[in-house]
Amino acid sequence: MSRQVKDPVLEAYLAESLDAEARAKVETVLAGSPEDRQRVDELRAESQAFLIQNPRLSRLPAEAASPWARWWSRPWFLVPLAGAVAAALLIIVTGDSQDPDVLVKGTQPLALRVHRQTSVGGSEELRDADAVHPGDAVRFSAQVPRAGHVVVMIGETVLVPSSGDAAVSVGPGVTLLEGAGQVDDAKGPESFALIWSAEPFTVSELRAALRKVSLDAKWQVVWRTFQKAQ
Amino acid sequence: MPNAHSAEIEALYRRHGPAIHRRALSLLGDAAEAHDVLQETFIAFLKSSDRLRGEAQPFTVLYQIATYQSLDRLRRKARWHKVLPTMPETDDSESVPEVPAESVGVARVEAAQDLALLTRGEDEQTLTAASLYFVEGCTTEEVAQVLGLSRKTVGKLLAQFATRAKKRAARLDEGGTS
Repeated sequence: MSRQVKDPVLEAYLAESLDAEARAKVETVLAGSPEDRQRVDELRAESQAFLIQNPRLSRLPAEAASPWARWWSRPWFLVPLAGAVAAALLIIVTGDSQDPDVLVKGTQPLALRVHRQTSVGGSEELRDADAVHPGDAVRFSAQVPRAGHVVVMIGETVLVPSSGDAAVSVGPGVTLLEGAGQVDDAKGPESFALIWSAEPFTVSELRAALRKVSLDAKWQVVWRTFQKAQ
Repeated sequence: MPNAHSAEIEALYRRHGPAIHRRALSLLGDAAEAHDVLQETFIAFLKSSDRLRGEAQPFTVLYQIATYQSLDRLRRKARWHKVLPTMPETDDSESVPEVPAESVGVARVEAAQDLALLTRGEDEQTLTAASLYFVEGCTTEEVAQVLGLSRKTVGKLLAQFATRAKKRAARLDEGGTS
């Protein structure tokens, strides 16, 4: 059986711009058409891959939105602020998981948590309503559905792993990751992507997959986006 | 504080940017040009926020702008291929023919170039309706769904456009390219 819903309609469906009647028609077709459901999955995967490679508009009227280029890759948090890391981890483990950015695929939650260094030497987990500031130092923890391997990226810049090509191995639950970054003064929000796979993979392999426009099913992606105060 | 306008447009970009890029790419067939159209589309959207005072969804407006920008680029370098399906004869909405699926797809870019030449001066909504119908092979019902219009309105838009386009096509057949 061939596809029944054309791409423009599927795009409008995914954008949630169809009216209720049209949406119901599309969902009826999708329920009985594996080919159309596959195309929906392809479009979603293409969108994820596109946003990883193009996380923001490169130009906006009356202001330049340059890439977030200046990142530190050294794990500055770990040695001087070991106590703060332990505190952050405690918050992660015991905190509520009410984050709206958590992507649920099946029944397994995948989440990226972003931590900011505070002026008194501690750390705080950023919530979606929080704004980041130029100079903020941030690092990450990953909540994964089961043991696997993760990479954290902003655009095409890899923040985790902080060195080497292999994705970082993590156990089930929440893992504080080595690798950190500092917010620069470029305008526009900052979007971080956590890429997880149950299988081992390398950054090179991931980059190659991204160049193919669409991500394979082996990877799942979750995003966190924060506005930036100037 | 973050710039509210920028925050709004960036949020829209993250939600709809990939689909808008795909729309431009499907018409232009060139990734670099599609990326330029993506940027131009969001800039034009920001400058045209009064469009949203109506009932159109942001995606619908962005989609129309991207279509307009893409066809505008095509028009600058288009040659007349005569690959578009036959235009309907009257402005009766019931007479708008459904485009057979086999007439689109393979010659999409050529069809889009033809349409670009035929749509000079058309507004974004009419132009988008025409591209969905004549290039993508959508039915009037599908065009209506994408644009958030009634099927009757789409039929009328297409029929009126077709009448104008036939005159332009006749001039192009006589040897011009614009």
